[in-house]
Amino acid sequence: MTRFPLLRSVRTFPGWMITLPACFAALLCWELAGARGLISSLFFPVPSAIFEKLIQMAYSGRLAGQLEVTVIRLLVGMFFGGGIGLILGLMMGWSDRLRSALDPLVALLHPIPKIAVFPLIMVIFGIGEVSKVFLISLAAFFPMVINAMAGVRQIHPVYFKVARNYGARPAQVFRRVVLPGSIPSVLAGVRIATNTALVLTIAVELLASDRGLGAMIWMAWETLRIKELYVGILVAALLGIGFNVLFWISMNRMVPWNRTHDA
Amino acid sequence: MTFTVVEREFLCIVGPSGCGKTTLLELIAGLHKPTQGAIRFDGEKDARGSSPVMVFQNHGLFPWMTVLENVAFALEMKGVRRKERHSRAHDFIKRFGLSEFADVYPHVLSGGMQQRVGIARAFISNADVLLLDEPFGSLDAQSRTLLQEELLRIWEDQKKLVIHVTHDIEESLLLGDRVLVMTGRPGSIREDMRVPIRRPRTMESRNQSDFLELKRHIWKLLEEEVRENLRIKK
Repeated sequence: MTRFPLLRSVRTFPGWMITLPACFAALLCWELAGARGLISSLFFPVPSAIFEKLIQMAYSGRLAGQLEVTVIRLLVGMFFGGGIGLILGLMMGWSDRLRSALDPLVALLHPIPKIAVFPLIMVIFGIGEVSKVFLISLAAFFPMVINAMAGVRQIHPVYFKVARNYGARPAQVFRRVVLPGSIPSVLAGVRIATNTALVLTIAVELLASDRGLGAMIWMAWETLRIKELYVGILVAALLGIGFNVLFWISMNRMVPWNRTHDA
Repeated sequence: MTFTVVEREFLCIVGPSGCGKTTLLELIAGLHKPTQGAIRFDGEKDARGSSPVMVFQNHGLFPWMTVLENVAFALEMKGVRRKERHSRAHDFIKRFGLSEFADVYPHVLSGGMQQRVGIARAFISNADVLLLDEPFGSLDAQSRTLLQEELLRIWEDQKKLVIHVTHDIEESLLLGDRVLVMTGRPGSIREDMRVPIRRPRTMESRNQSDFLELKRHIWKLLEEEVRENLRIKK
């Protein structure tokens, strides 16, 4: 090993020291290709131009307004859909009877592409905000209910036995076994639910909204403002990445007994 | 099958895998209801005064609680306040020489240390009856020897009724006042024997002639069934 110091230091590099330069290199290629006219700047504006547009839109306050609308829709949907999914999922994981009753229903409804239900929801709830939030909630609900249920079910039965053996009452079993035992899976569920809900939020805004990131992207297309289109996509992506980073942090905070997800 | 255990007795149940030893313990612990027959405490059916506490083969510690919280769990379920249960658990852990590991999670401990924490949790509960389900089954032979001696010391000190299930004949003779030899399908008691070897027992007890004699005797009782399980002909 000592004969190849460079090789060894590459191996011991932290991951980001490779990731960051790689990303930068890709952007640089794009920039240079655009500058030299190798790719059409109409369809593929160079990164620096997109970035400039982003700053400009951020300063004018136009971006923040749209972003706020999208984030609020997403969070309200997560609150209702994710919250109900979490509680129901934990209960279904714990109670065999409840699971027997509801699991087939969940399995049946889950595969339906949620966006396909949107027109029906608009018929029922009208074309206002309620329909949009309802659909986003629906998108968040299913991953949450499934992961929470799976999280409880994968708890080794011996932990329930130990708790009962020491005389734990149901509320104590819930607080000391069901809840902590299912947290890793529940957090994974929150992550998937948020990602799914974000997709649906953007989709709903593309379809039937005049505000929000999705609406902004649609408007940019209609008026052929390509750079704005890219900015919209970029911000939506950053939003998703932001949420995911948040989950990795909370995962390590909330599950200190299992640090296998550090990497 | 019928047997009686008296206060402060160390009873070992030895038998081949699958003869229903664990089920028997879980019945005594009240984790299952018997379909037939009854378990009596002081002559009363199912009247578990302070209910028997069980030490499981492995996985018995909650991975999401620190060593201290795991031990204190026994007190928590009795409604002992947080501050008091933590200080009592601390004292207890100290006696086991585990103080420096009080705030770590079980997964960083070796199997042997995890089982010691499990035993500490069972003893702190102050139950009159302790049920040990092959607590040393998954440990290496050296760790097992030392933990057997430690268990004997704690038991001498606390004098609880212990029912210890194992498939290790030597272990049952080293630990028990009495040994029940169990066979399977249907689970039944082949023999109920006293162990006349004087306490305190140590590693050296294993080499005494009466120890070896008993060991051979129990092996004879079990050999046939084990052979059959493994389809090894004599």
